[in-house]
Amino acid sequence: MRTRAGWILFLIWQVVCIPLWARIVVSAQDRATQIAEFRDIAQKAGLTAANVFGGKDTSTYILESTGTGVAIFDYDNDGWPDIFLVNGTTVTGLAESAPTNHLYRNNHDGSFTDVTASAGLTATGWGQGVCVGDYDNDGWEDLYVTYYGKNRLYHNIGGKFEEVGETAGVAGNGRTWGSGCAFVDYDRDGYLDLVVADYADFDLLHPPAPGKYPTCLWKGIAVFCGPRGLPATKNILYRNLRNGHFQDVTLSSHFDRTMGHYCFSVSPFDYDDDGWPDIYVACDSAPSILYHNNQDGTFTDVGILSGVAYNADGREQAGMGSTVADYDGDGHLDLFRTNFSDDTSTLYHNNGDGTFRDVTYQAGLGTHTRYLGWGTMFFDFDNDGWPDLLLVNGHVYPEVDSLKIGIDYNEPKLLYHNRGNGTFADVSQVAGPGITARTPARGLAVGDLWNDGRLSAVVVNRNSLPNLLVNQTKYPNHWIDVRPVGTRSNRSGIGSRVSVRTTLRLQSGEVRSGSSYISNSDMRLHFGLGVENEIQSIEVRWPSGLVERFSDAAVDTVMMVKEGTGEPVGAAADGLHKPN
Amino acid sequence: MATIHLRPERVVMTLVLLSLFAVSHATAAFAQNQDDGLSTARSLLQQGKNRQAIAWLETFAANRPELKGVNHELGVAHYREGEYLEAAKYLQEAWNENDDDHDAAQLLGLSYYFSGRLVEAIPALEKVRSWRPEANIDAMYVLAVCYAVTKRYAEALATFAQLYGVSPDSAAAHLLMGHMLIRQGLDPAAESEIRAALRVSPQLPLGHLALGELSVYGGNYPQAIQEFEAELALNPACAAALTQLGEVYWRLNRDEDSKKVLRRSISLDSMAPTSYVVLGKVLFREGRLALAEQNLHRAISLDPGSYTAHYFLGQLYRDQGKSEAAQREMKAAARIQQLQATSAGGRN
Repeated sequence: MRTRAGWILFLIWQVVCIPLWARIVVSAQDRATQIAEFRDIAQKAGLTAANVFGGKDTSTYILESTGTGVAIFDYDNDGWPDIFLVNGTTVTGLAESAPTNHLYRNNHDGSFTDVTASAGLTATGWGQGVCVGDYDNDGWEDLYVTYYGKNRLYHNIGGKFEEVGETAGVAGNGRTWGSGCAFVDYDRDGYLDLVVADYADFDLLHPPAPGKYPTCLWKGIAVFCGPRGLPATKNILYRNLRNGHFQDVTLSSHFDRTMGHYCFSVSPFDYDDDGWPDIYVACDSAPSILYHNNQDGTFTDVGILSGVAYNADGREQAGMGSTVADYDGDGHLDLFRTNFSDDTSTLYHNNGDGTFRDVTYQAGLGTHTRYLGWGTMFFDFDNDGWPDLLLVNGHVYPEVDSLKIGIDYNEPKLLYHNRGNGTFADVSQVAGPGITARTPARGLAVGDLWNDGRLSAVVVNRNSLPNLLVNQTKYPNHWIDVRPVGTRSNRSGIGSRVSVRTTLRLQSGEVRSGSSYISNSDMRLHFGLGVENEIQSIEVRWPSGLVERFSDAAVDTVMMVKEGTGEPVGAAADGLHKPN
Repeated sequence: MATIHLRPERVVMTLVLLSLFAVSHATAAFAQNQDDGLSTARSLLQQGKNRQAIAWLETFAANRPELKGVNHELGVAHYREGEYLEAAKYLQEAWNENDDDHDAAQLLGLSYYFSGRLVEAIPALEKVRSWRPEANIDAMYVLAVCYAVTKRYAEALATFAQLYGVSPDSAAAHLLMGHMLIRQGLDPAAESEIRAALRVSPQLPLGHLALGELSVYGGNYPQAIQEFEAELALNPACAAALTQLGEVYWRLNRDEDSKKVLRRSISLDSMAPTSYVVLGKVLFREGRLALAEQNLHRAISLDPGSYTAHYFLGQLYRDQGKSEAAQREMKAAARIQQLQATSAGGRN
């Protein structure tokens, strides 16, 4: 619990230090014109495999429209993040040279090598989303890939993958259309459990034709049917039994007791700061879900009551992607969600009392209504200490181009710069051709690909080549990447709350699997530090409840913090401690 | 956003057209003098047993493929079941068999319309108009919409003008056309038409209001303010412009300005629920909860289907620690939306 004295100090810090901080950091926004230079280097870097996902020029069924995710993770433990791109197929199938997923190994020199075959990842099918986590705590990050069909769990054995979904009990029934996923230790037993969001039960043998029902029209023209009208299905929670097997606890955990359906991205986060991971799931044309962890193996959907199911007007939106960060530095994790076109994205400010407020308009994020948003991530591209926002867009209906209504199938990305005062500036037009180029984007992951503090973005484009967006602009700001490694807690450190204290700021983040649009970003926590070149301490609240302080952090480095090696700070009666 | 974006005309039109067809079909040209089999099918249709009629007709058609009239009845049955793609298939055959089958032509046009095949809908609807140029205003409306969505704007304009009895080159015709295009979500074309209306008649009321609404949809709030203010300069008693202005000011955190225009709007039209909703939102943000609650209740009394009013009331109770009342209001908001989504169909 934060003490009264702690609150007073916090308020003084808010009033005195934030303006000071704002004056001394070198912010991208201070630059008059070009504030970033994101360029797409995917082809040059060796990311050459095109995405395959349904028909190129038409989408007869909704299954063909949603695209796939991407993961940035270090599969071979060499300390350099690698890239995994999920691939799909077509309705008619591709008998010869069926597309596979692709794993690209980081060559440490700006290029990547396709190691899909040697890593054992050449499976084909209607791939959808991906999430990363070391489910057996063997020190190697594993992969879970959702499908329209049986999902796949890839056990990482020293850099080679073995598919164990069926034997582990997480393959699903094969009929359901899996979408987003995330590893999360919801029962805090030190082993990662697994959340799988499902979109719908979809029968590809008897699909409704475009225009068949009123739900198959958009602006008067026939388009593919759905999601409304498709049979809804429930999201799944698997409990890790600690022996390589999982148990489906969807019913006993009350995971099925929700109004939300047609779900996509999964973003676990401890929104109420009670030390128990909660789970946000963005849903399409339905209320989005916030599963509150009841600390007894069950969840309650508090999305509507807490204020993150609908927009400010209480209207359901077509949720696609989601991302979490403390964008305003008040110590509470906030939430952002992308939605369909003719609508805004939505920023939910965490009030710190278990409720949220939609501050989209107040934050300056309510002006783009034409784009259809998918992947999104908070990321501090200029290392000024304030998380910025990247959104990638692309319409679902190829027919939209023929309507000439100001909405296109290929759409640009959006980059919002965090001003540090609770508002954002749209800097998309002055952030380089990688942002303005129009593509049918879907999945997005961000990461520090070359351990140099410069965050890059990998984008999946439906039926197109991927983008690798690298910022060519240099900033004088400092940074640190923190990689928590659990010992009592899960080895991936997922769910760890990390606070970085400098002279003027206290920033916090949480290690997260999943998020964005059915993707998984670099799970090392990245903190921009502005011009501050000294870190006073790093404090980690582990999922086990242990709180430790690490005092030997240096700026501009990647720092591994191992549970049990720091200075214990203490723990509250409930096993938790909140940094103050 | 939600209040402004809802475009439920398709639902209303469906109901209107279905009921009109029921009347017309009762006196249909197809007298029951052909065959016992067809009479049985018609009897089933009259009883609303559409699926049974379809099964009967399919069997019957298999045995008597030469018999005229089966396609007509199958088309009608599928139409009544809301199976517009199937209906269009049979009705096209029926119309091919008998090019004077008025009902088949009308239902064919509507079936294509309801299944989003607007290019195919146009010939049938044009034929219906040629038969009954003044009588069938609903078919004319649908035809005009088909022209508009397929970018045959001149024909759409002429048809809407005929429908509303105005000259096609008048400002009124362009304004009507603009409104119809807004309803279809064809915003750039709508803006073009409304601007054309204002060029013809710069003092035309409601043109700037519509342009302001389009600016709100597009997230261009400074432009929206300009348009609403222009509307008010022409039409100072336009309560809707004041309410919209209040909403935009709320989005821009200009709460004092918002309250001022909303109170003016309510003074002009005390029965419009949206003004109370927006005022409730402003007062809620200001923390004036008692007043906010009062306005939101007033909105609900005028429009029980305002999910936004219920939602804000729920948040208000939540923030006051009144959990039970909060849950009740938020559930009401959710239930209303579910009902609206069920009846509206489509995505958004």
